[in-house]
Amino acid sequence: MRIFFNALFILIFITSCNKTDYSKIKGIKWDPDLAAPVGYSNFDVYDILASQDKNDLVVINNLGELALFYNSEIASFTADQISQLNNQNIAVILSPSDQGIMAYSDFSGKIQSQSIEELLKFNLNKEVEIKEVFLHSGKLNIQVSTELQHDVDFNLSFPDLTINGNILTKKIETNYNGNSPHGNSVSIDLSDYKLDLTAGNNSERNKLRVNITTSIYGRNNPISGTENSTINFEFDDMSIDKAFGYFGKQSIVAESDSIFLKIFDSSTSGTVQLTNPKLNFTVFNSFGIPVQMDITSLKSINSNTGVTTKLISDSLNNIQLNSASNLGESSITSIKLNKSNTIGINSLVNNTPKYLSYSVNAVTNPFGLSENFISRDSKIKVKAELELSLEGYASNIVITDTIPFNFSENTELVEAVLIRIISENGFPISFQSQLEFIDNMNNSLFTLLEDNPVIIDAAPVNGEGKVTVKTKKVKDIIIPKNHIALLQNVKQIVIKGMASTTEPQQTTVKIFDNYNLNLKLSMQVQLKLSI
Amino acid sequence: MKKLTPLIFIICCLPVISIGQQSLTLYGMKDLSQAFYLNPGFKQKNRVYVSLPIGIQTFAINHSGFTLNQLLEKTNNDSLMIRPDLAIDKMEAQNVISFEQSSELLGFGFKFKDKNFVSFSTSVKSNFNLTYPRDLFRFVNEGNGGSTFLGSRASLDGLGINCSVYSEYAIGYNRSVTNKLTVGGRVKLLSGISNVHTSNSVLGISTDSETFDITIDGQLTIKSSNSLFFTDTLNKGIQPQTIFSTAAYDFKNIGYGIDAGASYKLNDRLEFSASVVDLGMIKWKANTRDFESKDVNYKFQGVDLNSVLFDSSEVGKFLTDTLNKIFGLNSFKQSYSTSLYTRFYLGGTYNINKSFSSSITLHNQLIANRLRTGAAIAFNVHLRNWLNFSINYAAFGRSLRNVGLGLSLKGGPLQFFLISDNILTFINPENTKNLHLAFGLNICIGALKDKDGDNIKDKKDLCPDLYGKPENKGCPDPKN
Repeated sequence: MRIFFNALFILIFITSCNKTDYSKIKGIKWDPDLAAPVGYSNFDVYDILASQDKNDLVVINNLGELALFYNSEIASFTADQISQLNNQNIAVILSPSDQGIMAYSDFSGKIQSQSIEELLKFNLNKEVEIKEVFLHSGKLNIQVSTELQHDVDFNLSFPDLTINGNILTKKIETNYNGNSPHGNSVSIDLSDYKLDLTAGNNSERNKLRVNITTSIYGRNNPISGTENSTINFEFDDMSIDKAFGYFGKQSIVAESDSIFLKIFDSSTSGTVQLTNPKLNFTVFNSFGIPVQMDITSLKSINSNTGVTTKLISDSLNNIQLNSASNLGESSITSIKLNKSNTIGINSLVNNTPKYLSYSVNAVTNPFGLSENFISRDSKIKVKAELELSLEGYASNIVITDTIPFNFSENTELVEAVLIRIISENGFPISFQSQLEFIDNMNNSLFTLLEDNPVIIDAAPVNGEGKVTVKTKKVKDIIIPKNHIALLQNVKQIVIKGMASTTEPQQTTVKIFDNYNLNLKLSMQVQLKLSI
Repeated sequence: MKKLTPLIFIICCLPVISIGQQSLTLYGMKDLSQAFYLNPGFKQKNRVYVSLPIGIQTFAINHSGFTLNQLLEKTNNDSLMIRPDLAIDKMEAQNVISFEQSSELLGFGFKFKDKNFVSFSTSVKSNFNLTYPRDLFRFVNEGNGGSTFLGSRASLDGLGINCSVYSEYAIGYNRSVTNKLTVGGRVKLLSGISNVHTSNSVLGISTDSETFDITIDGQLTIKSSNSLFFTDTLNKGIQPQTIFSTAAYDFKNIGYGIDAGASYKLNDRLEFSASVVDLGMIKWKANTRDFESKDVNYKFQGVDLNSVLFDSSEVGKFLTDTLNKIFGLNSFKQSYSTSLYTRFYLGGTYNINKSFSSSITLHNQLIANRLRTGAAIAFNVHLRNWLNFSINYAAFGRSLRNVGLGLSLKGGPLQFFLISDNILTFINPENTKNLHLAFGLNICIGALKDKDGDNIKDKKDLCPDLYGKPENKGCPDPKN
């Protein structure tokens, strides 16, 4: 019993002495580590290529091999360049006999002349010989003038100038006002008129018939018998809807054009050997005119380095374009360049070009006179397509991108951050990376992954260049505390990536449509909440 | 005063009972009428007792996890550092914070025909307990990315709240079967006032060591009855008395309970006792509302980078939809039952002489499917009828630092008592896990006198002034 009480006493004594002074609490030890997945995705070839440029066309052959199509379509030549109708100013002088007059001392009666036919000859460019033209728009100004001191009516009839089958006739009256010569004028809208310029004879060209009669009404003035009258025909602002005839041998030049190769847009250097590029030109000719065309100055341009690479034979000359068979139709001519028919075509894409540039010029009716037609909508269109079969090898393709960055959170409590990238790569392409953090003065604050390590391993390929198995890689990127503290000053992150195909170098790989990349991003944060 | 009325009402009349309450000290003070509540087999000393005006009031707090001092570490410069990791090392896989209070509103008992004792009591009991797993603290302290949980499951299974308030109406009967054996029992009718019960709580968080993918698994079922008592009294102006005044007596949430016990006097020196208390249940029917989550097994793998790259506005919608899909709760109304926290006592007393005795008490209680055991060794003093003193050393609630103290004083018919299972709480609370205090006031009438302390009442003692054995009818052995 004594032991029991002694033990109790000791316990109470010790306990009562062991008082805690809570004012001595100076801090807490609390340093949790947090880990969480950030995101995941499965990128197939379409995701990756679509992110490059949604306008690019991805094509797959029956083996599942992929090729990129870059195209550029230009309307190289239009109808206006070939068949402009210049303004015409044609004067017809009516002699006294044409007007049926003789001398009178005092004439107060009426003289009706005989109808006379005049040919208005159009003065057109070069060798152009038009049989028939349908005007979209245009204007005919007719000015009449007479030396007669009497009132005169001019009756004009154009048998070959019709609209909806009706010929154009016009009566122009002049009233003597004491001055001589005196006259009058009219303006006629020629929209939708048809002009037959054969003057009723199929061998004639560029000639329009007009029938003229005059009526003289005496004003009790004399007629000397020598008075002339003049009619001026002005065809202005004529625009062709369609025309038939021969439009001559004309040289025309189109401005140079280019194809933008988005796939190399972000790349700054590196070597690419695409072993099977194809360059196709397709020309659509909706003119009823045979054309001979040259494609010149065919070259690729790397706008980062300024390096241009010409095709060894950089011109494709004397490409014969047949005329269209009928109005509204086109003849199609294709020119296909590939490694089997064009030496050095590979070199066009081997220095990661951003542009493929070329020029076009052409000659109409290269072989002389022929039956032509044109319409208002006639064009020669040149469509250029670069087909890049994703087959070959690449090394050290440097891709850079800059993204804005703004981070204002308090990072004092963060001790370190680990970013984990887990990839299961089905592409035969490896990816190295480096991240440079830039402040608002464009100073580099720090660089992650300075040694440019491999982030994603390339998948191995067989002898045919096809991937045999996916490659998994776990890459940790550690951001230490001193770098985290600088994040608030970061305004831009320059991402520098380097892509290479499966090693050893110059191993030919192919991209198939079933390739994909599983990518997983995770993050581990070491917090130091201890005070 | 008006403002204080509800507070006083809550504190005094709506007490909360701790599942951690052992009442080891009270069990050793058999002369108190309220010891009958722990073992109806205890023989009653008084002919009549009335627990008025305050009956027995009990208040207890228990935290099985850690003490305040276990959370602190002294550094070299004599300052203190809060070290959650040290406290976590002291925890069990499952830990309980409990708060208990019981208030006896009325109690009385009387003897008849000398060997029989009948009692009646009514009290309000309440308890609140929060069960939390060690991994919850460890998860918060270390995070999911540390060495403990990266690649393994943080088990938050069992996390939940259980709280009950109920009124108890008990009738007890006790009979001395022989001079040595006394048996007794209590039948209790219960009226549940309010309950929140976490019937199923499974929650695990696993972090994949390579991908850091986070998998959440689990299932949660919470049942409640008259839960406004706990939740909305402040917000909606519903007075607790309103719920209490109806639910305490209407027996819509009816329950039953049984206490049973026996004591056996082997000889003049040795006595043994055993009891089971609060064997029963309450059927909750009034204003029930159950919340049940779906069976969750969700892996968070981050956001789909494609959707972020091409439309970041989808991220917020994605997260909202996902969370709703995972943690959406089904709500329905359904009656349910909860068991009382049944306790078992086993005691032994060695009477040194008529004034001094020592005793051992073992206590078991089933909490959250785990048997929690406590034990106490006590020294008791009985000075005639006016003083009863007990001091004990006890181990319970995962603590070996418990010193219990009980004191009852009687002047005339009035008997006051003050009991604590751990007085160290009041001396050095930062080192203790258990706080317990009980006090009360009884009116005791007609206590049978036993002047020589031989446990044979003077009325039947042929030698009331001389210590003697029962076979000698209270007289000394004539051979001596």
